[in-house]
Amino acid sequence: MSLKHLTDDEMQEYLDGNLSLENVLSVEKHLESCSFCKESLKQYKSLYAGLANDEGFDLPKSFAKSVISRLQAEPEAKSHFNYANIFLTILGIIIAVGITFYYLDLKPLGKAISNILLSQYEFGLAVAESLKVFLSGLNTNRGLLIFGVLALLVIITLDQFLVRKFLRVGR
Amino acid sequence: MQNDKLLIEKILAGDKIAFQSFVKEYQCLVAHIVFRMISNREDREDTCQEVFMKIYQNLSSFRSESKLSTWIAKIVYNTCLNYLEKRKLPLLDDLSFGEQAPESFSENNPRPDELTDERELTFLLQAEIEKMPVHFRTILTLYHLEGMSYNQIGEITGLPDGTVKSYLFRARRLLKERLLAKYQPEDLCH
Repeated sequence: MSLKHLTDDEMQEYLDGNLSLENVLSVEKHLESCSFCKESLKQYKSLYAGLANDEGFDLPKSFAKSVISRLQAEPEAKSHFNYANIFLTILGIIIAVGITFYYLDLKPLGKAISNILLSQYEFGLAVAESLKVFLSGLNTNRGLLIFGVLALLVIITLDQFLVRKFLRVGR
Repeated sequence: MQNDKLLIEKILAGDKIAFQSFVKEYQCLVAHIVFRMISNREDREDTCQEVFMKIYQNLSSFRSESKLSTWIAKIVYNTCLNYLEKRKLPLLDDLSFGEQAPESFSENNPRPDELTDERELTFLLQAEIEKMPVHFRTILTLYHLEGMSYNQIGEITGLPDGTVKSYLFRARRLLKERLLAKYQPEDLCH
């Protein structure tokens, strides 16, 4: 190490404190007699000092307060988001139940409820009968099925592209 | 470490004042990385705010296996990467960086004979750093401004320790060469 000039890596290892004691002594011995490496090391030292200078990284003094203000505005947007979700869910359930009651004959189901006390077996049969009526209703009322799917699509579209977008902008 | 734990407990209990103290404590770390990775001055403060919002939302997932500063720096690094990706700004290392011919002096840069103090050298150095690839800039910042180890930097950037070290050494060598190509050696030594 003492005959040849120090490499850039050796100088950096030396300044980083990564060298063993033996190598540190060897580098220092070389530096005593080599003005070229001494000068180069000096330049590296200046570079290190410059790199450790954090001038120009300042945030405004009110930065912490502005983060808190933004944080306090955030839960409000979140609660709006929750209310919107609950509202849409309830709306969806009302539409689904309304359509079901409007189009389907649920008398067998009503009868079944009244018969619960009489016999569990009869209740099972009645439920099966209701399901059968429901399924055949779907089969004969294809328009109803299409309407249901379209209604769901409209709700999903409104939710995705209007409600959520509006809430995102508000954040 | 104990103070951090206490602060985190208070924040998780909903204490906003504690979070304000947390922001003050770590805003330098966040600003150092954001300012180095994002060149657009208008977007820097917004990104710093975004980082603290993410920290607040994810603080409950912090496990003390890693240092809090490393965990925070990782969030900052990923947020900045997302920012750069969204704007399609170059992320990969520009391998020709070191081979570029030194640029002529711009109107804003002082001439070598005007280099009178350390502050001006710092200004020139910052200008040179800004021209470097983003990984180089980040590693230089984490090592020299934050005093992080290769291992911590590797945890933050997802790079192997050997790569971190190699980027760091290469970045410093290139910076020295570029500064020397423009200015006299005696201008760089104070």
